[in-house]
Amino acid sequence: MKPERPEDGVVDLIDVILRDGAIVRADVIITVADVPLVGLKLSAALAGMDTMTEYGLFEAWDARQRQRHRKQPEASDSER
Amino acid sequence: MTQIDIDGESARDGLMTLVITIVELLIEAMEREAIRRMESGDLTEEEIERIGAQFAALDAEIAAIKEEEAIEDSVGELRDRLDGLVVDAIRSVEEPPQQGSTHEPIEND
Repeated sequence: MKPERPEDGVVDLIDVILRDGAIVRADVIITVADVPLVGLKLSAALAGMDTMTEYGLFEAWDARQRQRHRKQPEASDSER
Repeated sequence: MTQIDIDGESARDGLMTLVITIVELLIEAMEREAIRRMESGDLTEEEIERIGAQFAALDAEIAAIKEEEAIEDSVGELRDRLDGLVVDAIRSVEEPPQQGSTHEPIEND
């Protein structure tokens, strides 16, 4: 492990977001000359998988992903 | 504002510093999530082993790149600044800014 720096602001921030999870909802209408042209309805959930599965989201996918690896351990991982 | 010099002779260094710093932060955040998953006990032994080895390899790779490019110090500096920004932002949320707040602009190099 690396020596911890006194203030680990960024990583701490990301860590809290992943630990607790975050939900973002936004409705956007793009308007030109006061005429609405494009609508955007956003709802996003971001959380670490530990929290995600705790809320019952992505549970099946998580299991499937790990199952797949057990069948073919040669497969490359890290889909980023 | 923090400035990262990405022109002139130090373009490569500046860009490398920026990229490596972001990658490093991401990896560290993911390491913490990995630890959380390990501790919650729903990973198999084999998975824990694999993820540990993967992160060890990543860390070694990042360290090697930093040494090769001689950007250890600049990455550390940038991280300190970013951490400072986050800490300042959180403080300003916690306590609404008053007159003469302690927010100091970051000096450019």
